[in-house]
Amino acid sequence: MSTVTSDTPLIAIVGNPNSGKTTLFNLLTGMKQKVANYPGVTVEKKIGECYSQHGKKLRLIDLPGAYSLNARSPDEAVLRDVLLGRRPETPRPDRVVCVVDSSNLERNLYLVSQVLELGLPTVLVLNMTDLAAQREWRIDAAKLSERLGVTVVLTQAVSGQGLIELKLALSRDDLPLPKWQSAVLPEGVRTALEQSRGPLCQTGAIHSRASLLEPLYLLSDHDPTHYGIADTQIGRIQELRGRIDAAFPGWEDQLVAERYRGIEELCGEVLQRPELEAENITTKIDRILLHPVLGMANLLLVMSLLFYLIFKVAEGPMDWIETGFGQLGAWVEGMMAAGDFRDLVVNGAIPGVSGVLIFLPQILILFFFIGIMEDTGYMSRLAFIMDWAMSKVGLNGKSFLPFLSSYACAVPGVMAARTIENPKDRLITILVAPLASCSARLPVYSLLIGVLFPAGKVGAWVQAGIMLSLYALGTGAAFVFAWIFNRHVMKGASSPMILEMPDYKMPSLRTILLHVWQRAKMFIVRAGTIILGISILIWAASTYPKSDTEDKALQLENSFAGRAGKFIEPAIAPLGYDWKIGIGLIGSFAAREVFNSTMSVVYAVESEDDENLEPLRDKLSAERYADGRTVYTPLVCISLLVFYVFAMQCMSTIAIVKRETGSWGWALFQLGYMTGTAYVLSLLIFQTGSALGY
Amino acid sequence: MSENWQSIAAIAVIIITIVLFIVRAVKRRKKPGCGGGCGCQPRSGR
Repeated sequence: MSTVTSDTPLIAIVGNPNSGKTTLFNLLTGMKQKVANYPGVTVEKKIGECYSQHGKKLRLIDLPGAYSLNARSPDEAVLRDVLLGRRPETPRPDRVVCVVDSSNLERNLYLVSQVLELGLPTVLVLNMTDLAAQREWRIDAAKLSERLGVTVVLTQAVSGQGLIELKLALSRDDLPLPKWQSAVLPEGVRTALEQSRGPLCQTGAIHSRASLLEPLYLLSDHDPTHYGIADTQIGRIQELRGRIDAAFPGWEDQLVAERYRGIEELCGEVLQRPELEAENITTKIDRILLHPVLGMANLLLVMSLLFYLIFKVAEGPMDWIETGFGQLGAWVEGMMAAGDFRDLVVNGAIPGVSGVLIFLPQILILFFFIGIMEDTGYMSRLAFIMDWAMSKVGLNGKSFLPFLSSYACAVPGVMAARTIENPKDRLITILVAPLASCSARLPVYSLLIGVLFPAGKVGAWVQAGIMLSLYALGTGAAFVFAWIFNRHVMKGASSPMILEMPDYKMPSLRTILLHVWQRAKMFIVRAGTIILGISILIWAASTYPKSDTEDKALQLENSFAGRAGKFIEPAIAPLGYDWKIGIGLIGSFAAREVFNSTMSVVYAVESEDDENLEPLRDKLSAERYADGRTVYTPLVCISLLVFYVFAMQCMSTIAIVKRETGSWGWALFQLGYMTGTAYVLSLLIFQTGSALGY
Repeated sequence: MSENWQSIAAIAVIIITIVLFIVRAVKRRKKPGCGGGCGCQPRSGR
């Protein structure tokens, strides 16, 4: 990427959630930021570059969606602060691109009116014009442009229509300044705001040249976390706000009503709607998908189909990958003389990487399905369906969206909790989000289900059923813990759910495949870097220090890894695990899927030359104690599966929880309660099962 | 490649791996978070 100089104009892309900002940002910059058909996908600012029609470099900043500059959640505060120039690391934008969902014009214009009042040169983008046309809405863009005093461009970001017109508008050096007149502030409120400017300047909350709008948006701030505002400033802001509230009760509501009155008047001039709007396809589909019984039945059907395909369709490609790695190992073994380096490659690197990489087809199917659900608009419906269940545990359906994201990976899931206004709901969501079975658990589940029910002996539906149960167990546990935290740990009122239901649309195959490709690339890169590195270290820990004995099992037992496994064996033996599983458990505290790599390496190091290329699943099934008992009994497999559903084994998630909660305390609390529960439940399952004779 | 050389090469690979992990851990401390390494969203192109 070329150098950015300070005279490169910075253009902010703003708008309501799910209005197509990131799609436009990607089109303009050529970047591939995540887009989906539900509100709250972007929670952080993203910066990219593009060139004007005249070859001039432009910097674009994609901001999280917001309904108003009166921030109610941390992601909305990002938009307010960047536009007001209150973020030290981001200069105030020189221009603004306001993206509007044309099929929701009136509601979208609320934020537009606030942005226009900031006085920055603005381009208004009427996006999703196809949806407005489907409703037979006619928007007079020329009149809208004349009334607001800004350039108006019509686009369909999904198909790229209108992109050239937008680029042309951005290329203009003489972008007009908006002439939208804000609602007149009552004289008393204006005076009070003027008076508040001095004290706010003194605390550093605003700068001396700030317009009257800055104290307005700070004093009418509803963001409970006051993100970006120093603790010392909050007291002063609240004091000033209280003073205005006492002198002019209901002043904020009056301002909102006045603003909507102006927008209504404007829409009356520029928007033509049919007298009677026909029922659209979204309403018809929602009658089934949002039905309390049919909606839930549909969800179960979709999830069952997903897991069936994961086992059935992925089977062939998984075999190819497994065979490919087996042949690679045999080839290396044949090409090199015996020695440590060959052992490292054949018994460390290859089995370690292949132990994770063979699950790539399953991961791709999972992300393809998630992509379809996100792109069609079904994700928001899931949040709606789950709202009743979430309300039973004191949360609302909006908490379910970060939770759903966590099925892919807990890190973006935890970050997506920024869209939740209520700090208590947000914290509880962060604490329970990693209980959603993320894609890193999939290889472990798949391996152990393969040992429990080998593919040839049972149908894929049985394996899919077990997988579905594990996902349901994690989800159910999240509900139970949310209820416990809500009732007994964090008390306080919960907020009702306000969630936008986007129109359904045909999923874009390009978007989904791009998303799947990005995931595949990351998975392969991760396998070739982190997993490879860990496999090498596990091989080293399983090989050194070397013993004089020729017995490979004894060598492994005397190695660093063997000693570590033996050290924790007394603690894990009551769960049914031997010391080799202990090595796997230790390794997987870096990341869950490392369990597969670790077990692959441990068994490869221990095996004789002619059996080290067998699939891991077969090795686990054949593993026996010295007295001939099976190690991986069905009970042990179930105990292990439950352990992996609950245990907090992800360094990245711990780091992100610390960052998002601002405290190591909550991150460690999460580590403790999840891993503690994993231990206790696995113990109960194994001990009860053993007592019953299983 | 003789067995002796293989032992040295294996130890060299292990040391390089440890060094790379340490460098990565130090870098991550400067900028906490997953850095996209977990398979989540890639970092912005800033």
